[in-house]
Amino acid sequence: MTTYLIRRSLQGVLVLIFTSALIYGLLNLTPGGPIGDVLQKPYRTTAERNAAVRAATIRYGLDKDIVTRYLFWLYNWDPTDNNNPVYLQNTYDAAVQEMTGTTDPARKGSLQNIISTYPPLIASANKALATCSNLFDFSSLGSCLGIPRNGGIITGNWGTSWKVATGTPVLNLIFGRGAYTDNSSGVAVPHPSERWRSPLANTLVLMSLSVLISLLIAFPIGVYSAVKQYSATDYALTLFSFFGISMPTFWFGLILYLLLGIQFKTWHDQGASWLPYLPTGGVVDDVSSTAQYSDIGIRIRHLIMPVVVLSLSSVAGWSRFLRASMLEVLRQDYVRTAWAKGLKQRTVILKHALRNALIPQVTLIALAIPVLFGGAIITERIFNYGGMGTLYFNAVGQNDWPLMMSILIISSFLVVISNIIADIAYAIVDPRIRYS
Amino acid sequence: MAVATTLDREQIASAKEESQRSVIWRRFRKHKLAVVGLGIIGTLTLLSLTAQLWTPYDPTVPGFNSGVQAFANPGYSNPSNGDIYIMGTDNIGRDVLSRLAYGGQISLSVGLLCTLLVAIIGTIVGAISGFFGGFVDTVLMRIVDLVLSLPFLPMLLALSIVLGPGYWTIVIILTAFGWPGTSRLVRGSVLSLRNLDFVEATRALGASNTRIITRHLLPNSLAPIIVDATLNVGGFIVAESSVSFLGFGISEPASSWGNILAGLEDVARQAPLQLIWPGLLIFLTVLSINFIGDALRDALDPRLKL
Repeated sequence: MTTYLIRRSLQGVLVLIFTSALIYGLLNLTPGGPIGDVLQKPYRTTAERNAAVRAATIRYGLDKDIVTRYLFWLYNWDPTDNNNPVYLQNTYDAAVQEMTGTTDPARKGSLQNIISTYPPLIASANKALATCSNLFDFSSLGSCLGIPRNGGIITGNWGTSWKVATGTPVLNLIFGRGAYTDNSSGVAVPHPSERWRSPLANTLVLMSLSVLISLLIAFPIGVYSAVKQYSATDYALTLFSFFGISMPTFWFGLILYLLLGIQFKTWHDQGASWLPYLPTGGVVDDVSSTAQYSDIGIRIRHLIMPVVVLSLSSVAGWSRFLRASMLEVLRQDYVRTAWAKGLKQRTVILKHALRNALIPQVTLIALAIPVLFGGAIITERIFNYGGMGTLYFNAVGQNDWPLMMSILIISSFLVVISNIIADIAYAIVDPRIRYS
Repeated sequence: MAVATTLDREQIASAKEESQRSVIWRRFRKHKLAVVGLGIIGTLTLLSLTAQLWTPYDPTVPGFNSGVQAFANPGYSNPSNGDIYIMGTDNIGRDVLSRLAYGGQISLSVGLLCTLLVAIIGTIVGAISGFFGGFVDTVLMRIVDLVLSLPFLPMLLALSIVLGPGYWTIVIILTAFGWPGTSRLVRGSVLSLRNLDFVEATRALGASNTRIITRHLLPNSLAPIIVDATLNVGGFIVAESSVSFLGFGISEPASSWGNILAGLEDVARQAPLQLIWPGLLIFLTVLSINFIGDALRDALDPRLKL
């Protein structure tokens, strides 16, 4: 078993490295890539355009060949460091430009902050740049400017977000550490005192509740419809599971959202005050209130709809699968022997049949974890639930590569781990399985 | 008397001559829901294919725009020119009925095309892997393992951005993620068949590897391939519409059931009932396909006596 686990873990590491290289390589094939919007902006002169493109290219490290960039990403320094003059200049320019268009006072304030504090930073960084000998050698430039070589993702430096929350370390976004400004909504998210605000925790809560509730519902359904095969209830439950498997998550989510979130509130406000309604989005009622993040009542109200939506297809799938494996087990000789011994129905079904029918189920549940993570992207997007799904959705939509890569790596890791867990769990519940 | 004997002979003859196809069809028909599903799929396919002939408006042009609000509820009649929108219009004033019909062409064809490609690639890889075994098998199955251990939906979104959202991007990506499942299935089936006596006999008669695979192994593993392919159609339709719904799939102005729903979501608060149509079409299609797949599984299983 130990040898097997070591071999599987090594395979897992290989898969992760390959996945990351694959994704990194593919991302770099994108025309324009992260500088797509820089390329599309109107410029007065060609020189100005070239300068902007050149600046963005350096800022994102696109002037290096892909292997170097991948290795940088794996273990080297970050082009969006605050010692990088080009990065500082770019942030400043972007702030000046955005200042003319924005009306939101909060955003204006943070832009004003950049505009007033950056010029001296840029000046000193440029002074440092002037002393560097080779301006076009990316690696020596980094050390010359004093940009820390504190490692890439291998050493836990997952880079900083490019677009979703510019300049914020990716891990801070994922773990909900530190204050940052959400670029898509312009909302300044305060420094949290609650660890439960982290998107990772939010998604884990959503996923584990979903698994728990799916199990609690699917198991009785599966056992019941197997024991009462071909009864009216069995037909009804089978039909239900077909419905559940075929229901598109996003449609079901939208219907629930409109019915329980909006229509019920309308009716509630129109006088049916006994009618409860559910919040339509978010993790808590008020994002800026840190106290609400630890208020279990509020959290649960916000979790009900996402959990139901995320659980529907797993309830349907698992109950159907358990029904099939129960039927198979119930036909076997040892179950007939148990009946013949005169054991109680409860004992035969739960102790003799169910225990063996659960063996293949274990694998199914472990393998469902990455599927749930995918489902969470859709569910969180509909209910605007601040988890990894929303974060990933924003990262993909805004070409935020570091964030995107990090979440892809985390979800690949999830797949690898759940595959290994499935194998181990299988060996534990089924003593006939021996790995070598 | 003469009449009776003739009848008997005919009956015997017809019973003997019942082809495999009609046996399957007879068994399939026992699943009433699957037959209904077949009807639904047939109707939807026909309506989508003929969309150019019967849809009232251009699906890409905002025909209705009153200026104040761009969308219209079902049954809206434009007072200025009398245009009637049976299913209303979407967030920017395009006829929902026409968009659904054209969207059906894309959603259904993505499902069918991906299934076809996946079945072809999966069968070829699976057959080669299962039949030849050894090094070829190891390499191919490691690739399969690798693809299966990529996170599906996150990768789908990332790849869609990388390759540029569009019809062929979706087809290529879904195929790339779909074939490993089928090839595993085919490999398993070929592995269980290749050491049977009849294969040995064929080889003794001098049949080539290609002939053994194409004439003997694959026809015998056709049943699971067909069932798998049927269920794949539904899976691909849901996958395409999910990606399009999230905004990374079929991009505007072309319509797919997923991106129509995304467009209608913008006006969900004002016209909530509009949301029913695209989702219902996806749901009905996938439900029908799942019923058909289930019925096919029973109909094609020789061990099952129906």
